[in-house]
Amino acid sequence: MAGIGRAAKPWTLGRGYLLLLPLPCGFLAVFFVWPLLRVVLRSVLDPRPNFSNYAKVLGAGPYAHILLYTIEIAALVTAICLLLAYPVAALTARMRGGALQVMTGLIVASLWTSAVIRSYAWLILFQRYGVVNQALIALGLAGAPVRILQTTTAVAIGMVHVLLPFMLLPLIATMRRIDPTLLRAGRILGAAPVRLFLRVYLPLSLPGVNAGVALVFITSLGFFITPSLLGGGRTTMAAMIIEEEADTYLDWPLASAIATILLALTVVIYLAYGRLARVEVTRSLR
Amino acid sequence: MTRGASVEFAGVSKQYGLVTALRPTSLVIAQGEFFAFLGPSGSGKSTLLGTVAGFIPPSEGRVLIEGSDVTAMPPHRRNIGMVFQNYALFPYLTVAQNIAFPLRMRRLPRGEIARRVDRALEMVRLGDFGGRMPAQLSGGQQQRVALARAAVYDPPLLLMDEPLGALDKTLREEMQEELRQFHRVVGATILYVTHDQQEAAAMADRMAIMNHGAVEQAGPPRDLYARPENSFVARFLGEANVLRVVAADPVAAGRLHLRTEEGPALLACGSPPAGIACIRPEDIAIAEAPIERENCFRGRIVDIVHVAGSIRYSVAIAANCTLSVRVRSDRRTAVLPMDAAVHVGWDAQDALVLPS
Repeated sequence: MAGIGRAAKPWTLGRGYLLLLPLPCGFLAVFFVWPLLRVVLRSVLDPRPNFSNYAKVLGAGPYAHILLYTIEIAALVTAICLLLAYPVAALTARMRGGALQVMTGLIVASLWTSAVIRSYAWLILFQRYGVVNQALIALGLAGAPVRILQTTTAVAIGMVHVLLPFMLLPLIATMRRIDPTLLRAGRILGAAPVRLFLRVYLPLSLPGVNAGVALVFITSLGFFITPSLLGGGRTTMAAMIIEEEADTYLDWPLASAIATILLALTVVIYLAYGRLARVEVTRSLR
Repeated sequence: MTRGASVEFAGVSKQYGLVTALRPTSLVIAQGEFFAFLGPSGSGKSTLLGTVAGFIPPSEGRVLIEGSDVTAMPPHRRNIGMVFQNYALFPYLTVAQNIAFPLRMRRLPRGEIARRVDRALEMVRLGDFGGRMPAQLSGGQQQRVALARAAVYDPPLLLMDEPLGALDKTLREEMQEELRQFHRVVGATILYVTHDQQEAAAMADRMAIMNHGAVEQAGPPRDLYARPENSFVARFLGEANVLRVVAADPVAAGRLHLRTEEGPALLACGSPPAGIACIRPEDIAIAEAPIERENCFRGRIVDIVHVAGSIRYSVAIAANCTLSVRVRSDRRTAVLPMDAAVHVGWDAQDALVLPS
């Protein structure tokens, strides 16, 4: 073979591999870019080439409100995920050997059950005479069954449950790479535990925080199954209204306009956050 | 100039379950001393340093700094400076912010911090680098930043854990000179961990040779080389030809006649118990003609190695006894040929007699 007797070269992407590129590119072009383009085009061309669909969405009516609410709930879910995941990830990252494998195994295993099934489970727990209400009454915290389903609380809990692994995994990956010598350096240089966390550990874990936040927030914006099962009828998120306009009212142009706005919002928020996070990292200790 | 702090280890030991990382160790390091811990990896030298820093709580014993017991004090309150092998600079902070870190932790006023950071940057000749990120600096520059950061708050005690281990040879020798200079200027006590005997000998006032979690011997480098107390120290510092003694008979005051496992019988200065005899390669003379020394053997050259400034011959004087002989050489020195029949010799006082 050609390689024998020669100094080992680091693996690089050879020119031959470029030949493989058209396949995935073609697939994405046909099944992702083209449909997306169709959606965007339909939102401005149908029924007439103007911005009437956008005027409808952003004007009176429930649409603008629903979009704002979607951003709100996505932010809420992201914040709760971060608060819950951060300490768990920090502990997990310190584990070694068997304990670490069990922990990551548990996190990954939670991804094996589909969001539909997990959301149904909450549906049963949260119903009028479900386990949660019975417990509340038994503990004397409520006199009569409380409405949990169709509230922001139910949607948020369900979404946090489904999305938590997507916060945990990038956090753990980043925290495991934190050099323990840097923490020792921080301590010997005079940082007491709280300041050691704020000035050393937190800034070192920020890349993981950013990845997790971006992942969970963006997924939350387009979430459909969990909010429609747990919030349906009263609590509406963007993906649900898109589905309703397209499926129930057959107003495809309007659905396209909402979808386009949601996509644009997602991209804008993502870019803004990316810029903010970068500044934050470089400025974190000034 | 800071007054250096004294450090005392009083029976300090460390057990990890059944594994002994450090056997009970007692040692006193004087104020302002440059003290090196030298030993192979796993000899306990980093563990010892960790107990001073406060990262490793000793299983038993006490650590005293300036006479006060710090065994239970957390690292951030010990006011010690430390330089790590991988520099441990905070990658998200600029050079100036890294150096300012310990000052900020001590809540110094902003103006004072700026002044001290500038002075520290000048001291390590990195005046223009304050705004750079650590990743933009070379290894040597990063190490100088780490040094500035460890010294900027004038700690009376500085710990250095293999600080030059990641640098290449030329840079390492340059930094050794710089560290000595630094020690003279700063005046702090320095505890220096290394596995490089040349580095330790070149820089330290005193050093401790460590092996298997214990101090084998401590003293000035010159003394350790000239008067090792056991074969580990004799072999670890420089080179030594070691012969195992099977019988020792006093022949005169302070002189022994030794019979060795390897074969040759020799005269040596010393007193029983005699376990081994060590002869430094540079103390052995070599010539084709017989040599006028108290010990003289005939042998054959089996290997020749040229090193800078000297030649090292391996001379077989018995079936299983090959001596290493080093002679200084310059351009005019005649090199003896391979397989040549030669004589090697040394005086009784050149052989060290050690118990084991």
